[in-house]
Amino acid sequence: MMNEPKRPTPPVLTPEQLAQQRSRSKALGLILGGFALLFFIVTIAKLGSSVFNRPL
Amino acid sequence: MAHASDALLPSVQIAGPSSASAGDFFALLKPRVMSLVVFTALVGMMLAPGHINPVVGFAALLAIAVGAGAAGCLNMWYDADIDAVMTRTALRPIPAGRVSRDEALAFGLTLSVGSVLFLGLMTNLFAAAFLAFTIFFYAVVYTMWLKRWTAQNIVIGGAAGAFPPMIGYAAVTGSVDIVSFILFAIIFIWTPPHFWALALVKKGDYAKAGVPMLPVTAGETATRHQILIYTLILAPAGVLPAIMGFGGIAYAVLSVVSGLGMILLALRVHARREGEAARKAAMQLFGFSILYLFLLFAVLLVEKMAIMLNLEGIV
Repeated sequence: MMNEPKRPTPPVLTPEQLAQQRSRSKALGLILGGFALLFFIVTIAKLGSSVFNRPL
Repeated sequence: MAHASDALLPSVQIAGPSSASAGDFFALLKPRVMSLVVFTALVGMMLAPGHINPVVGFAALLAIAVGAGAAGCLNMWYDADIDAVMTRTALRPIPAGRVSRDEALAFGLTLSVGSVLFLGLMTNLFAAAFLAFTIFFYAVVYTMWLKRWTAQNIVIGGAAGAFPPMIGYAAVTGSVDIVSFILFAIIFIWTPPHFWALALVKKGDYAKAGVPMLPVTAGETATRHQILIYTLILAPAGVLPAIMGFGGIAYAVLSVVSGLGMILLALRVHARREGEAARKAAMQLFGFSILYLFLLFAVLLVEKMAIMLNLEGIV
């Protein structure tokens, strides 16, 4: 029988490291969401120069 | 004996789990420097002839801020050894062990490329190229080359801090002209007396870290002379916007009065050379120099907004 090659095991995180990881994930999620929203708004602003000034 | 298949496994080194919080990564961007960059870039943008959509202007400022932050991050990556030695910087995320150098390098490079591309998409290629050059100038020319090599490090390197109003201006116009050059000149001439005042107080730190700041290499007396000379050039340079016509009456008065204040404090630094009085004089000049630059740019901004809102008689 062939020996299975040793695979590296993922590190076990301490509660503090888990909390830091969550804080990074939340910040990254918020930044990516904000970035997508900003791209959307800027696209509208650049494509239609008077789109925000039209009479309602 | 090692199994033959082990040789086929890639020798991957798994980094340990990161102990950095989101706040640590934010600290890598040097938020205080970033706020000054945003402010001066905004003034450059506002003084530029022509119109920029407010949303696009906001996005451009964000790109400039992130670009400046990325440059700061690359600076912390390269200077981690110096930062660890100096008391002022020992608690930064890398020397404190919360962020690894590799993480900082990856973060800084990603943000550098992203901010330049974003500014190019939002405004124009010239402004994007200017931002890329500024990041390069700060991270490579200043941090990697000048800082550890010459006492003129912050004189030449100060250009990096002086470019943001030009980038803001270029974001609107796609070019540079005398107005943006004067804004650059004010910050460029302001930088040496500002930093050398601090360096007089933190001389021991710089000496310990082996950074050839002027007080370490040329001595305190020579530094005091240089501070006075640069301040005597700065005060009239600060009045240039009024002379050139893009600063109004309020700016003219404020720039003359605060310029005289800078000269007074520089003379005090020149005169008081020993003990607590010398330290206090240097810190007063350092503190006032921040207020001085802020006031000059703030008044330019307020005057421009007053013109835009037809309130010229009030300001």
